Amino acid sequence: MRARLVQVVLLAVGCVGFAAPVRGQGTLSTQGFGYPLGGLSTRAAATGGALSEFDHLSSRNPAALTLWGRTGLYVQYDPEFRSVESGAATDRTTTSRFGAIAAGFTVGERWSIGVSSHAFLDRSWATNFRSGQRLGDDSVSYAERFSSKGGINDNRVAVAYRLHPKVVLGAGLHLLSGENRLNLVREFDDSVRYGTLTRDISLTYSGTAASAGIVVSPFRRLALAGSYRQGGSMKLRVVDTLRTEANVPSRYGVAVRLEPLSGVSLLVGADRTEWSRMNGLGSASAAAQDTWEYSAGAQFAGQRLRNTPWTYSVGYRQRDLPFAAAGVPVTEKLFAGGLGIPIAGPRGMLELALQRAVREAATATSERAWLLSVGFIVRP
Amino acid sequence: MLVLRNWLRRARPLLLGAALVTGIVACGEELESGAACPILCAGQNLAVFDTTFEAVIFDSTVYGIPGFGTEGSLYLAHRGDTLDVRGVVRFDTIPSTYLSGLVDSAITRVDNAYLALRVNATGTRVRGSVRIDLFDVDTTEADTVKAVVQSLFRPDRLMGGSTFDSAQVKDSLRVTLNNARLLAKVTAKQRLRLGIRITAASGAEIDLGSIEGGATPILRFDPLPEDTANVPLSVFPSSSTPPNDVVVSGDFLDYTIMVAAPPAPAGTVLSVGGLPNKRAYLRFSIPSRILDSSTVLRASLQFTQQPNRSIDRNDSLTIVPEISVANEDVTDITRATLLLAGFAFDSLRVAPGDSGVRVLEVATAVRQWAAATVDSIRQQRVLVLRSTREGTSPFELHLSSREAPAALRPRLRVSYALRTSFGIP
Repeated sequence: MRARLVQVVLLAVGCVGFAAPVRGQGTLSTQGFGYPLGGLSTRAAATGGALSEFDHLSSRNPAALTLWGRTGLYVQYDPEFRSVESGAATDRTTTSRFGAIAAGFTVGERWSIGVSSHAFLDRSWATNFRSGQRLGDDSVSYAERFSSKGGINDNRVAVAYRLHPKVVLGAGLHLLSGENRLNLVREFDDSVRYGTLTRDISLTYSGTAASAGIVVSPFRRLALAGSYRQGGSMKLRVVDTLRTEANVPSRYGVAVRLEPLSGVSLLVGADRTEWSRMNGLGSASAAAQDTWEYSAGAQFAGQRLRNTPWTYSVGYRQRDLPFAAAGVPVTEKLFAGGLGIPIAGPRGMLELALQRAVREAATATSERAWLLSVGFIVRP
Repeated sequence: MLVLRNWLRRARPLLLGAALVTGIVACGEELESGAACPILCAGQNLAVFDTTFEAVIFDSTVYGIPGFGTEGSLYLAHRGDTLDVRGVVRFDTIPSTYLSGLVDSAITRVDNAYLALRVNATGTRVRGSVRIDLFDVDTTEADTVKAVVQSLFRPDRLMGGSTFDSAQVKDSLRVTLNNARLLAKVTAKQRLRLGIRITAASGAEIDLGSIEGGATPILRFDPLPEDTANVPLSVFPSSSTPPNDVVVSGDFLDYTIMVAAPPAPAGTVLSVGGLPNKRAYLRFSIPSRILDSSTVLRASLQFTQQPNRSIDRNDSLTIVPEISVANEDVTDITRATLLLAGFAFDSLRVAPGDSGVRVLEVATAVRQWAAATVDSIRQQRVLVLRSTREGTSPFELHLSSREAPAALRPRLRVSYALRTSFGIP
């Protein structure tokens, strides 16, 4: 037997049909590592996010944890009904998300402790489409289904300390974790010559961050809040192999709450997220840009039920999304409204929010979405 | 204000119900989209690498398949001095009595004796007329040795024969046997081993049914010709040698012998098909970056056909690739060539006299080899090229082996996508 191995690479022309690695697919909002949820609770979403710096159920400001008062548990469900128009074609999708789960309690009169997990980036999408590819000398058509499920969560342990009746400080440690479960099936029309490409892969993420916040109430009807999160390292693994490393986005935000009338709160806020710190975690085509978010909203206390008022909220939020679509920045405008229903007095509260999102980029594609948020808080 | 409060109180169950229903509806996730592709999906194009390399590390022409006596049909040919294929059918047990009424009677007469043969139209080509002669090839010598059997096709052993026009050579044939000679065999209780030879002025090929093909030759004769109600006796092949070996003696019920055939190709050439039949055995070595770390989209075996002008250069031959399922412990390449997966994943129709680069798609094989790398049993990475008409066609493909000049050697062209380059934004 002639066992001599001669493998002369006569032609090693790579990258036929080569293009950028995978980005978010088929929508404006889920490009890159996914759609940023913003760490908002249902009630904060109902105010356009303007309440988030004062909200103990949102993940932004650890100083807000003092609002837990008594021990409580909170869960939140955030389905999104999305419509993507591209030319004459329209896609309608439904995305299910569990936006948050949180628990908190107070220790003594000054300390509050909270643990929470909020959706940070949601990378859930699926595409079906036909295309073609050059393989060797031939051009071949194929049908492809590509899907991604999962995302990154922001898990936080935080404490708040009432330094003064008008000043609350907070600090938190964040562990970001999650995974994307991707599946690709590409079936070539000529199935004799070309094998079906079937891929399953899981990308796992891990990262750390630390946050600090403050809530100040200099006057009875005025409150100011600010928070800062310093991102630590963030790692991406394929199966168990570390592939890339970058940083968790840092962020900071401020907000003002004014109560001109009893039971009426007016809120404005601004938030800056340094998404570019994630660059390097993915490819250059998934480079993120730093973004500003501006929000304004109002909350109204309504009729009381079992000595607990209903709350009504409206708000508006405008922001840029971190990941560009086809190289073009994407902006998002959200119109929000919601209500809080004390279904069991102070022991049980149902929060509802409905947001209308308008996402646009300088492409032929536009996106609209209804974002429903249902939160339920129990204080046994 | 009171009105509003009352309305809200009434609306509360509705609001709660609406929220609940919406939530339930939203639980059914529907993510499918594609309208914005490829604008927003451009990144889905995977990096597909295309490489061509000499993957064959060993190759050989394998003879002896199908094995002697295991032919699926009795392919007989007469093409002048170029090709002469004959057949043998054994009737080692011929009845010497027949049942007349309820009484066994000794056979003392034979009439209307003939050999009934089934014809496979696919491998049969007759122009003009063809003569089929039957010879007594029984001998005490080794009658499976070509030289011995060949020597027995002589006039003094002629047992019968018939001439057929080309139009008659279809479905079935009756070749007349000499009644007296058959009677002599019957009364002497001798075995009858019939050699079948065809001759035709312009050459002929007749593909006859065989035991293995399920269309056995049958010997028929009438021991009582005056009784029109009597059914002629039908005698099926039987074989008594080699004794004590049922399998081999069963194989020798009928078989073909190659009296003359085109010479085997010499030099750096592999051969597929022809007479005697040949298969090409090609063992591959494929880099682990392709087998272990990639998904193979396409794999094409490129080889250079060499012209074979010995016989029927312009006719066509179909060859197919099959995977050998032999593991690494099987060192006998003939056995490895016999152990095939049983399905051909591509086919190629060629004229033996042509030349040039030919391509077979073998992605199925490469993918199977990739899957087999995780198994504890190490499967040989072997492709076997064979004719679809093994043993029933003189058409023979010649292709350059791995020892041919570099430009002519077999190559494997693979389009593959690395698994690790997938999914990262």
